[in-house]
Amino acid sequence: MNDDVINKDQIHKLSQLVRINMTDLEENAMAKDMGKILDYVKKLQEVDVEENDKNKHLLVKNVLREDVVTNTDIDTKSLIEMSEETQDGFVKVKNMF
Amino acid sequence: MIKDLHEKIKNKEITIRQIVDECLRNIEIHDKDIKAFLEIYNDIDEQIVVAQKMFDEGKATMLTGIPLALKDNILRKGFVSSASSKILDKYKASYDSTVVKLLQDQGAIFIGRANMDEFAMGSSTENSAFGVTLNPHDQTRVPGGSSGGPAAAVAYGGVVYALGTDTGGSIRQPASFCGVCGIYPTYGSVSRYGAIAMGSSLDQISPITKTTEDLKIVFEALAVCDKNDATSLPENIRKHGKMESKKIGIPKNFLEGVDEDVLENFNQTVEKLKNSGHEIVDIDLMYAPYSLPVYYILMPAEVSTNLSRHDGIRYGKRINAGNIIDTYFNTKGELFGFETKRRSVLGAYVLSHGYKDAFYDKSILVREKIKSEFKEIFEKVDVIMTPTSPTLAFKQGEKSSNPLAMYLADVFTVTANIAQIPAVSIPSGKNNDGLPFGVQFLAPELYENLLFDIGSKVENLI
Repeated sequence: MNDDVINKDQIHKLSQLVRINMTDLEENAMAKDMGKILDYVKKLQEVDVEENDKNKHLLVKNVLREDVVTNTDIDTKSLIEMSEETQDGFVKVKNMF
Repeated sequence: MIKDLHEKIKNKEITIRQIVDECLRNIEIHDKDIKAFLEIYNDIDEQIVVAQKMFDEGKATMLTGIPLALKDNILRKGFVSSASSKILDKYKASYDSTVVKLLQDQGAIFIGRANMDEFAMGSSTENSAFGVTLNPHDQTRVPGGSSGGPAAAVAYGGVVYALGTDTGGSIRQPASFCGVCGIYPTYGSVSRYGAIAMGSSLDQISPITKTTEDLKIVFEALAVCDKNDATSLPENIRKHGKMESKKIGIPKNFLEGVDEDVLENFNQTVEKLKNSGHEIVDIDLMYAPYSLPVYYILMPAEVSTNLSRHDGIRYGKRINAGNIIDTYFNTKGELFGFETKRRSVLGAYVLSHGYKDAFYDKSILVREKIKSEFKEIFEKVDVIMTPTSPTLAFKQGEKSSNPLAMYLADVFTVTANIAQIPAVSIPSGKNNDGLPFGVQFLAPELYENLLFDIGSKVENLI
């Protein structure tokens, strides 16, 4: 990918990574604005940072627990039923290929 | 307002039914034009019975019997939560969010769910898949966003308060545009369990209310540690003391580009605070102005990760294709709105090989710089004051074809989310056409009380 411009083909490649179908019209529209957005966020290059700043101020820490079921208020059946296609208590999907 | 209603119910001067009917009447009058609500719940009568029983048995709290709206991305078991997206338009929550549970236990009355930008991505509510919400003060203008529906509903009296989510200003900016109060609390103070995720290091659920006092009442009811949210702050570090805001820092260098009328109102509000005995201190913010570019790297990165779960397989709508991979592509392609697609693509870009160092990693480090800067400045001042948004509520369509202009509406609010510190938006008067102004105050982490103090002072001065 070129450093400064982002064209329709690159938008198409990125859309493949996030698995979203887009029309030609959408890809063109997105390419047009993406350059401006990226130019704006590139302002960050002006800031000098030190690598050891990483996570210096983290107030929030991950809270881990034992690997046991704690959310007993949710039952499997109601979760499976959320899917559009189910069979015998399983979520049904299309073939891989 | 909440306190007053509570006393009146307790003293039998008014019934819960009367309060609810007043809200429903306002909804009937205003919502056919404003379109703040996507659904009015069908179990309001049952909720009233439960709330009344709590009063009768002496178990009522301040929020018992008080009507509220939920933003469409906060789960309520058995009811639709769609995040205003076609992909979830029939999705019924299979569990209650922690905030809903907390309010339910107090006998709160859930009136309905309110419109928003799809997946909370936007500053105008124009990105909703289910239509545009109008600003109650001027129907040619937007209510702000992404919590535009909740803010508009509170503004026209459809509910006493609403719960929204704020990732970059999504509560404070619409609160400002609609002339009501909103808060982004310290990250980790309110549980995110049951909020449809957008940017997980930024998202918080919090209230939109008519008064600062109400903001405090609802916030305190929600701010509890929750084992279902791994980033929920433990009880022992939360602060509950009473505090006063005396020294107010004004970052003059940051206020360039603010609309003239907004700046004039801001300066007048500063002057009033000064005349009422507050010390005004000029401060320089070197790094905080970089919050918006940091945000437009971190947020899309988190969006592209969080939204990958919406593939139509386990829940939500599915558009089948010949195989499962094409089914993912079809489902997202047909059911995601354009802004949602744009942020997913942008997220993939900033995380992609060769760009991650320059974008994502750099933004993490600048975020730390911004946090350090706020920490240093809060040694010198109690709170920092800015306008909530650089403009008044803008016209519909004015910014929808220019994403960067839309993003800049969040330039002041987003600083709090990046630093994970609390901030409020408080109404600071109206212009000659009746459009509301708002001012924002930021405080050090866990010092929400400083914000409630200064907020009520501003209310008294305006």
